[in-house]
Amino acid sequence: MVTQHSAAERRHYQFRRATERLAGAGMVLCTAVTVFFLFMILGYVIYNGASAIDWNFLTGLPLPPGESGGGIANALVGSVLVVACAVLIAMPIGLGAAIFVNEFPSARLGRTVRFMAEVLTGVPSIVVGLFAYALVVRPMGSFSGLSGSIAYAFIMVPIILITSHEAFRLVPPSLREASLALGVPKWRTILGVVLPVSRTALLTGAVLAFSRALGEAAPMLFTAFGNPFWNLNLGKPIATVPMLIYTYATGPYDDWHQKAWAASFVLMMVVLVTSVMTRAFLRGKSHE
Amino acid sequence: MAVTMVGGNSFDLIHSLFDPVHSMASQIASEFTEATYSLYVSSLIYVGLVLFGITIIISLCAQYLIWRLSKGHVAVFE
Repeated sequence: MVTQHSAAERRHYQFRRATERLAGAGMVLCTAVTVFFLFMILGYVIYNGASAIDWNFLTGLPLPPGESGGGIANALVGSVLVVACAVLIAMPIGLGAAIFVNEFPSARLGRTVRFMAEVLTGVPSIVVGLFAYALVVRPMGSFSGLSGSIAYAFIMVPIILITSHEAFRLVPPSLREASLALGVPKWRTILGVVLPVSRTALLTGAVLAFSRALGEAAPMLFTAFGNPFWNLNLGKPIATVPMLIYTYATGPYDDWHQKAWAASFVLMMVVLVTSVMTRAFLRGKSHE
Repeated sequence: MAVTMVGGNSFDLIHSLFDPVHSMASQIASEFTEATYSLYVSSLIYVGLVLFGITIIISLCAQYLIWRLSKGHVAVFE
């Protein structure tokens, strides 16, 4: 016997089908828009930037406006130097704080620190720049690469703390307990078990922080400041790529705009290559 | 920074979405290196303080919301 549905029931069913289709289509649309803009940005930067890249652009120094040619070698080296120094400052602090927060969950301070880190990730980078200016540049009396590194480190610490804490939370309690059951002290358990087990996730977090800082221009305005010449001394003003892009893109010369596009392309490639290489490296590790 | 580059940095109040705007961050970014006397520098750092205060309040609200919601969840499962 065929079940009889009333007209009202059928209408209700059709209404629900229609809502489901609509919701599904909405989600597909949102995804498409997100992906579209990602590829739009990639494509636009490649279209405008790739043509200006040559050997001279990667190895030369900036020339005065009006002269053709010249490159961004000093800014590339400066960026890498400043960000690497920032990683050296931020990694021990972030990692140490994450260990404290995870290993001493009963400590009120630990929860407060984690909470503060989440608040800190939302602080605008320009405010971080102002802070580093007041903390380092004013007392030292001049702009310097080191103050830029400290500003970047302020951005990195909460990111490293949160990603490392999440990594430590994923370590199975049985591993930790096995180590403690053998009479291994707590600090040795952390160094010998917790850290090695979560090392891939820790590295991912560090790369995330590295990429985030590498593209940040705002804190460099009042700290590293920029420099048209070669400088490897972190005590002096130093050029960085995002700062150079900002200066060139807002400058009045067509040649500068072209160079800003090309520098954006290089910066994007560096971030892309770094994250792809880390992924490949981690995948290789996990197969061991 | 992104807003500084495209926003237009106008000092007028905006009347429509198509007018040039000036955000707090872009004001600091564009004027800090031009600030010649200490009151100017202090004012810009004060703008930074206001910006910092706003973000702190917003993230405190967000944290409170997460705390409230996760607390509700725990109560359901207990």
